[in-house]
Amino acid sequence: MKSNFFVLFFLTLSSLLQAAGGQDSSESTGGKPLVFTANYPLYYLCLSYAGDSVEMIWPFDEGEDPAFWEPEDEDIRILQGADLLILNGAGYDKWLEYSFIDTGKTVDSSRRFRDTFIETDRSGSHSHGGGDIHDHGGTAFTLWLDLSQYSRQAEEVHKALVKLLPRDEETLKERHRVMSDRIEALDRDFRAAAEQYEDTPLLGSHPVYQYFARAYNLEIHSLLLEPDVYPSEKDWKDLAQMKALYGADLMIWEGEPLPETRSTLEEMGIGWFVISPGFNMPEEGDFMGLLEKNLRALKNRGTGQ
Amino acid sequence: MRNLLFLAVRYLRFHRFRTVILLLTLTSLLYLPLAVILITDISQQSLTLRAESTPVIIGSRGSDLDLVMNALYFQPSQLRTVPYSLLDELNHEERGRPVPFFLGDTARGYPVAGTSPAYFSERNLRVAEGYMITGLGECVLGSRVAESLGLKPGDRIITDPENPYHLAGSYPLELKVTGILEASAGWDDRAIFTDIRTAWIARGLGHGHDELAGEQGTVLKEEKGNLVGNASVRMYNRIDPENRNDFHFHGSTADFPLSGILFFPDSSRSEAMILSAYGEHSLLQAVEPDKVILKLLDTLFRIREILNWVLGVTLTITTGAVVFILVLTVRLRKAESLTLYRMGGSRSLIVRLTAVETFILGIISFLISLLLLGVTWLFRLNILDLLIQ
Repeated sequence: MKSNFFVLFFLTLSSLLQAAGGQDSSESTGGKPLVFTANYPLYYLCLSYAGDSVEMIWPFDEGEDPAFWEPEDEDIRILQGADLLILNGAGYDKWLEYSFIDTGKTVDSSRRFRDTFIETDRSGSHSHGGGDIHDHGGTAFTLWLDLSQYSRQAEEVHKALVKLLPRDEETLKERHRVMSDRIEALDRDFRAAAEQYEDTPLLGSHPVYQYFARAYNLEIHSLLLEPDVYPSEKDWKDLAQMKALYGADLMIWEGEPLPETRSTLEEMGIGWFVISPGFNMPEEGDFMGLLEKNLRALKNRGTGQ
Repeated sequence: MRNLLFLAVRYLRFHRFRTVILLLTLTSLLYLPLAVILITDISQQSLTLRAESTPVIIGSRGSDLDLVMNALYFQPSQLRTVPYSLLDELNHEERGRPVPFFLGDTARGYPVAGTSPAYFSERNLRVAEGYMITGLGECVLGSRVAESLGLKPGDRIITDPENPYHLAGSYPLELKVTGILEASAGWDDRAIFTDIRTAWIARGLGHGHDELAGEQGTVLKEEKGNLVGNASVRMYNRIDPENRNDFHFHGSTADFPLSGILFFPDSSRSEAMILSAYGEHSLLQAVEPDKVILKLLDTLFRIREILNWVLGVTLTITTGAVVFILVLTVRLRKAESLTLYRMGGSRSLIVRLTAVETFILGIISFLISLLLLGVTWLFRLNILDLLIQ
């Protein structure tokens, strides 16, 4: 009887302690609003502005391109519980098309400059019988590589956070001012660095540099190559043709190409440097560090990177 | 007393036909006026509560009652739809929470309402069993739908074909039931909820099909880099995680239809601003459901007044008939009373015996009336449905 009492006592005590622990942990996470961002550039803004006041949701795997994210049911349930979802816009957030998310909680960070979006070619479009022609995509979405656009996205993120955290308005305002100054300064530096390419056509490994080219007056002709995949015979042939056609001997890559790719590029007389779009979290540093690295590469035409 | 009860019961059982007639008359005497009061009160409460919980409805210009009936009670409407872009506009105005809804299809007779997650939070609807919709092709059922169709999470339900002989019409869509909502004792118990895009797909505004480029013999022609599929292209009638990426819409979803938008303003000022903004609009209208319902209730109350008069006259006649039957019975039982008197029974015994018989009839009629009122209460939503239709 006595032993039963002690068993019951300890069971009750442990469950009470567990309950108390659970409450603490829910308070530490549940007290802060949950914020989701569609990619790393937006995540960086959010974290810089309100990292101490919000709980960030980052469901993307390491190295995954959030533009092609396909959320599982569990991911969507987490997003349904978010207080704010900051989207990139420009057709980037395709997962929204099949996810049950409250649009009232979403903020399209690029909605104010939709009219300046770049439409890409409509390859892969089709129609059914007499139906309308349609395609599934067609808008360039790496908006943030044009830093003036990134600055406008930052403005939207700031506004959304002020609405979410009205008590932190002053802090958010100050952090936004600092961030805007940094982006503007970088934008000026990119413009200055890009001047040297006025008469230099460039090749792009992937069609992600549309806004970057437009913002900094660059002539970039893109292929469909991945830095971590050795290009096929056909890819090399296309590359050689484009080199000859545009007289381009300098190539921009999203990431550092494979050593064997680099050797072949060298053989073909094509120099290269990396302008990373920064879709996902970098292995080291942050988004500003990544932009500065991009800037150095652009300034040095790839030498010394 | 036990003897009186024995005699009274024996008498009532012996004169079954008379007893049944008296029971029916007394029951109708009790039940009918109470039922009219109950139904009108339930209608008033149910209509008013739902209307008051929805401050503003925005829809196409036309009958305000039609819009309210469509938005709140899932009744078919002849009103034009409004474009989905209106939702974006309202979101950007930041004056409250707009909740889109699109009604068009039914599944096994129940309305399929396409909406957003905000609908459930604004209506305080929780999932009792299973889980909330996460994406295309899924639905949650109102409690009565689940109960009457015997469906549970994981089951599937197919939308009703609009016209089986319309070959070019939309394909019925198979919806996966992810959850059953908690009973709300309201209209949400009698509907099927899905994502707005799923409701569009069910209407035939979006679809999924086999990859054209990969399949032999599915391409009719190719023009300007665009593949034109032929009739052999297999269209999907169910949306799974495996094929949901293949579902797409033709044209801009900004122009896609909504039956209307429920609007929950963040302040009375915002409400006034919205009402004023759409008050003068040539194509749209913003209505306050409680005011519209009040107008409807005025009509309902006028009907109740008329009913009250009719009932009053009927009840007077019925009461007269009951009294007449009882008096007639006493006269008819004169010989019986004389026998009782000769056997030693007092005169008051005859009166008491009649009183006990009447009391038994009264009690049984009262219980039957209560039972009928209970049944009326159980079917209140069906009755209300009939009234609204």
